[in-house]
Amino acid sequence: MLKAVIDAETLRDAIEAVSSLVDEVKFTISERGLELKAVDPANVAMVSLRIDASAFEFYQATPGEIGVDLVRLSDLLSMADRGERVRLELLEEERKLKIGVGSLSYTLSLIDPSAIRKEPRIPELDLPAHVTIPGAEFRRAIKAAEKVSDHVVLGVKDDVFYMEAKGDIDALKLTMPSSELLDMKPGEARSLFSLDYLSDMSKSIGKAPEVKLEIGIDYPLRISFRLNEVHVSYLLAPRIEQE
Amino acid sequence: MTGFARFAELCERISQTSGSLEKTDILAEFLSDLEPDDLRIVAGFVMGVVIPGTELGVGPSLLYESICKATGLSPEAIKELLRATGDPGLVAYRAVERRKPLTLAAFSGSDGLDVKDVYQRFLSIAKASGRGSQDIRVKNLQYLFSEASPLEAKYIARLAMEDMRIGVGEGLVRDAIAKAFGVSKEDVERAYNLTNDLGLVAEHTKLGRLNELGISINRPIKMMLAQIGESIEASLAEGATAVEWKFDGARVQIHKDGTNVRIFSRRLEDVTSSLPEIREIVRAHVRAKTAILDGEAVATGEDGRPLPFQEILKRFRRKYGVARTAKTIPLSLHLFDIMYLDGASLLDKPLAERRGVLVSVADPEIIAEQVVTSDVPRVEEIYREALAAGHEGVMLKNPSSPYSPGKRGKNWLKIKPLLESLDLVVIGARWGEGKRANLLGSYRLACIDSDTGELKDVGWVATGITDEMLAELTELFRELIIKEDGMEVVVHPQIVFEVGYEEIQRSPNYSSGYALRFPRLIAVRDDKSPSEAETLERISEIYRLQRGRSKK
Repeated sequence: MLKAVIDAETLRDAIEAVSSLVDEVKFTISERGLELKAVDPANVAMVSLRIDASAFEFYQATPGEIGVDLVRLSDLLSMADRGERVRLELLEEERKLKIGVGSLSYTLSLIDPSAIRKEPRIPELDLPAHVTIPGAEFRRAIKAAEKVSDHVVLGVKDDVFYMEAKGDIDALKLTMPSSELLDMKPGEARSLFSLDYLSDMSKSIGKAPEVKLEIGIDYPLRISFRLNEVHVSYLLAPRIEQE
Repeated sequence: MTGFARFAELCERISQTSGSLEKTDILAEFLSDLEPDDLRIVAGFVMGVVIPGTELGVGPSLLYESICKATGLSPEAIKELLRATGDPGLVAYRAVERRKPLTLAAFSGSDGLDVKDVYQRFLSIAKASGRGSQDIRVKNLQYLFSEASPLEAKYIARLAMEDMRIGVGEGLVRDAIAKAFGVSKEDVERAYNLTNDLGLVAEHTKLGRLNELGISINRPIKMMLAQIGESIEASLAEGATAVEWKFDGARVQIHKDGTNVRIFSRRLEDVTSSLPEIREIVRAHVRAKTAILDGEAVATGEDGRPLPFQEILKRFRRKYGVARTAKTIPLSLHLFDIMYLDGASLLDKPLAERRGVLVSVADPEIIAEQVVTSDVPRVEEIYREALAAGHEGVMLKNPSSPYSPGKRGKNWLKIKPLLESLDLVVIGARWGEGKRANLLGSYRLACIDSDTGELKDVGWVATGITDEMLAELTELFRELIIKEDGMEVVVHPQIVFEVGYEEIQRSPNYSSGYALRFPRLIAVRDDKSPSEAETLERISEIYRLQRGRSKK
């Protein structure tokens, strides 16, 4: 069972954080809120999302699972104006989600949860260094890196965080000493990542006041941030430089 | 669960075995152990049919891009492997050997691939459409190559190209199913012709339900085909014959299920969305509730003569990015058979009776005219009328014959002018010289050895191609290049050319043993898949017929 009311912008932001990586997801519904974990088709990136019950203006639920086509859901949500409320109601018998915006009401057909790619195994990672920076700052750095290369190095040396992108012609380097960071755990870390993925993620990251980046040596990158009461965490596999 | 590694090992073993019988034995043994759902997948996979009735739409460039992404090798390194091996399967094998871990599985562990995982990923690839579909195709393939062992990668690449290169064709799979489950080849073949899906047939055979498979609405059956008749006179020797025009159009199989009408091409692909007016014609002029009908869709020009059928087929080939025909070309429908009506199969009824049923459910304006006669001058007259109207010739049909799906037998004979054309697969090409230096100017043609599924070359075609076509063809084939070797390229066998010629000659220069004299390109047959190209048997049949005629 699910009956909920939420601010359209909050829900849109939450869905966008996921739909940049996957098209179909399985939401787990509980008293705590809505949660999902999904991996992109290539198994390079993973996303975890939690919309706390407190993010909703009204939330009433009993545990369950629903499969949702995010492309269609985003499409429907794009009809809502900023500041409008979205009403969600699960029609269990019909396997549909009723979505109300103002005087409009849609029914979205749900996908059989068993038809959705199974939830990813979550690697247990011990990442030696982390930094916290404003989301907008990270997004800007990613945009700049895209202008020179397809991939980017994220690293920490002593108490300095750096990003490096090297193209055939140009190179870009950003360095931020600990004094410019919101928070950090110094350590040795350096890994290379695909900008395709970071760019897809950075649109959502850019909206967050702060984003925590956890980095290792040739290890996956964990990116965690909050959009109000929506918790998002990405995990991105590193690229290994070929000789 | 069947591990994909087991399937890859099976393919490897089959490819290293030379005789058809031995290959059949190996395959039969493998199939007999499989769970029904895996069996359904494997029976298709082993002959390069990934999703029955659907083309994957994966070209070499997409394949190599996903291999790059999965392995971390540069596009240059992949090109180097391609030059060295000339085979997408071996490129994948070698690239995966050098793969650096690039996915989360390297940190979370992985269960390995099973046959179903691979099928599911290909299904996602086949279903992808519209915005972002290219990305979905690349990522799913990338996943497969990042999880696969080198040997698995070799066969994933070949599945992606829908070309297994292990010498297993439909006939061999049919025999293996029969052998694995102790049923007759004829029963397997019958079910295959009625369903066009050997995986489905294998699964039903395993479950002891082979005989339950029959003709069914919304599932295309193989079309009945015609042999070349030697002459009108010889063809009428058996007695009264049903004579129809052989239309110059596109063959269509129509499934009418209430108001829902689906149209299948010769390749049994659903082309309903390309032919909306045929759907409307059927709705307006066929009174049956459910029916499966056979006929020809003809495009008519302003002068009332048929337009070359490519004009219709341009609509089928949106996939090659050719602009959709903007102006509407009037299409007419000429039905000549009915195989199913309101829940009952008509396949075993004689043609004369089926014709009666057809006349009773469809309006005369959409039924092809038919004359039953044994009078040679009368048939010759119909033949001349058909040619004068711009059509191909006549069909001579045995009025007491059943509809035999998938059969090219003596019950249907086609009489066409002697210089008929051949449908051949393009397997290579040569860069031009001078002003045509950046264009592929001549094309290497092949027929199919239906025992082994191998392609055997019969020569080159370079005439009949305008400069404009040359540019279009170069674009089409550029995507399909597997290997470059000096001026020559090897291309993925995907495109079928209709080629005219003066004569077929014996030739030691080509692997088929035959060569075409004065070949010229007539059309690109988008409606035909490589598996429907001329067989080696047919080339030798025409060679024999031609010698017989020249003696007269």
